[in-house]
This record gives sequence, structure tokens and C-alpha cells, in this order.
Amino acid sequence: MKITDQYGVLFLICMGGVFLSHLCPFPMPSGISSMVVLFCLLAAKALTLESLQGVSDFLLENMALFFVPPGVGILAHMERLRGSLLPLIAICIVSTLLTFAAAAAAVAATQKAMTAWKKR
Amino acid sequence: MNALNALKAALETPFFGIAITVLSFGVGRLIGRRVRSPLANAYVISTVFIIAFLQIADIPLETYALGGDVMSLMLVPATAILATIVYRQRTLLAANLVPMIAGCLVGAATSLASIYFLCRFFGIDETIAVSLLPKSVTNPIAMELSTASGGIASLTVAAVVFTGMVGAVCAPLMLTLLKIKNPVAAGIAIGTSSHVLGTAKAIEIGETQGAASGIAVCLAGMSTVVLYMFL
Repeated sequence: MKITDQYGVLFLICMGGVFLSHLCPFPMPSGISSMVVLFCLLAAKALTLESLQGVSDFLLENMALFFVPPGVGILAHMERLRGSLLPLIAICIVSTLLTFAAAAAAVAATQKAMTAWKKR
Repeated sequence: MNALNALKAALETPFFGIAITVLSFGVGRLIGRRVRSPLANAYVISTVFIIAFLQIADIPLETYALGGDVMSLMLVPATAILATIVYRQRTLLAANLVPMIAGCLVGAATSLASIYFLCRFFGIDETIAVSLLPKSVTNPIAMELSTASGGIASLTVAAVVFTGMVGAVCAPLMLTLLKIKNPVAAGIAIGTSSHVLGTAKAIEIGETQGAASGIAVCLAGMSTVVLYMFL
């Protein structure tokens, strides 16, 4: 597909995602519902990875770029954060390491349980 | 005086915000390639530079946001495109579906619970706590969850990026320390705790680790959305 067509298709998929997120009875980020729509289209072979190559390479390589503007927006909240900066940093580090350990342990435990169950 | 007014008119367009963002990001990427430290990534360099520039040149945030808001339009398509990562790794996903889902769900729950209790322990105010809560998932998802629950989007973004850097720096050490040999467990742990920035590190560690980490970014995001329904 031409690059303009790729963007057109992706934006249509996003519209579909927003549509579904509004129908959803619980709060559903429109990014997630759009992701599900795209995955289903790929799985149904309505789209191929190659046909979206240009737009997917561009977005995946430059993902962080689109978060610069929201990041700069932190300027408006500096006053409020100044006092609690150190605890916030500590919270981020501790919870990241805990999450890491818990996820690894859960994968290992599930795999062990599954092999044990298969052997029976 | 006329020239000053003309300059002001030029700043009061979306072009200014877009140009400074894209160009400082490009410079940041060049520096990041030279320095090769997760702390010197393009995102951090570009964000810090723009904040400093706006402060020094005394340009209001609203002027920058004219262009910034245009760029934020791409957040939903950028999340949607993550589906291609999962689809590309569908054989690995199918072979390890249950352990992967279990790892991401448990990881996401641990992240939410640990942030909640740590915030209470430190007496962090409600708005800030709500902004931190989704910080282990990838930015577009975290931002939407944060704003939907009354958080400050920009604080969430900062916490997400910081978390990613912590994960990327600590991942090799944690793998040795916890004696994790299984590449799927390693990838899921990295992707669940530190999203896309961690995944970049996981790809360096190994192919399976990188692929599993990419899947975990999506699965952990979805798990967190599901867990938010019960909050």
C-alpha cells in the first residue's frame, strides 16, 4: 500500500477503536480497542504486516517522540511536585523491581504447574 | 517593534511546537547513540531541553501546546500499531499463552498494589497517587488510564519514562540476582515492569527475551485495563 493509504487505513481503524470504546460498558482506552481491531484484521488476513510496513516502522521507531509534548506539560505542575520528589522516585524504583520479580515468578510457577499437570 | 510582533506571530502557530519537538528529539537521538546510556535517551534530552528553552525564552506553555497538541493526535495510532508486535510473535504467544497471561496479570496487579500502598505510606496526595498508578504500562495506555481516573497526564508520562529507565538499567542485574534462566520468564518480567524502554534492553539480551517482552508490553497494558475495572 502507498504510505498515504496506510495512514488512511490506520486512522479508520482508530475510528473503529473509538467507536467500540464508546459502546463498551466499562472504561476502555481507545488505544487498546484500536489495537484489538488491528489485531483481528491481521488475524483474519484482511491486512498483512507488509501492507502496513511503512506506517508501523515509523510509529514504532519514533514512539517516544509523541510523548514529548505531554512530558513538557509537567512544567505546569512543578510547584506541586517539588516537595514529594524523593518519595516519588523511591516509589517508582521499588514498585518496578517488585513487579519484575512477581511477573517472573508467576511465569515460572505457571509453567511448572502446567508441566506437572501434563505428566499426570 | 514590527519585527518583534512578526516573531511573536510566528511563535503563535503550531509550527513552533512541532519543529522544536521533532528537532530536539533528533538531536537527542544523536547524543543518545554516542553516549549509549539509558539515562541519555532522546526522550529525556528533548523534554528537558524544551522545558529549559521555554523557561529561559519566557514562552508560555500554551504557546508550545499549540503544536504539542497536534502531535498528541498520534497517541492512539501509536498504541494501535503495537498489535503488529503481538501478531509478528504469534507462534511464541500461542506456545506460552497461559504462563504469559499469568505473568502479565500478576505483574500488573503487583504494580498497582505496590504503588497504592507505597503512596499511602509516604502520604502522597490523591491526584499524584492516581497519576502514578498506571506507570508500569506503555505510555499511551497509562496516559488514558490516568486522565480517566482524574490524574495529571504529564506526571504519568514522566513516571512511565522513569520506570522504563529503571527497568532497562536494572534488568540484567535482576535476572542474575533472581537466577532467572528461562527466556520467556525474563522477557515477560522486563516487558511487564518496564514497557517499551525495557523491551529495548530485552532485545539486546536475547531474541526470545525481546519478543516475549514485546508481547508483555501489550498483555500487561490489557491486564491493567482489566484490573482498573475492579478499582
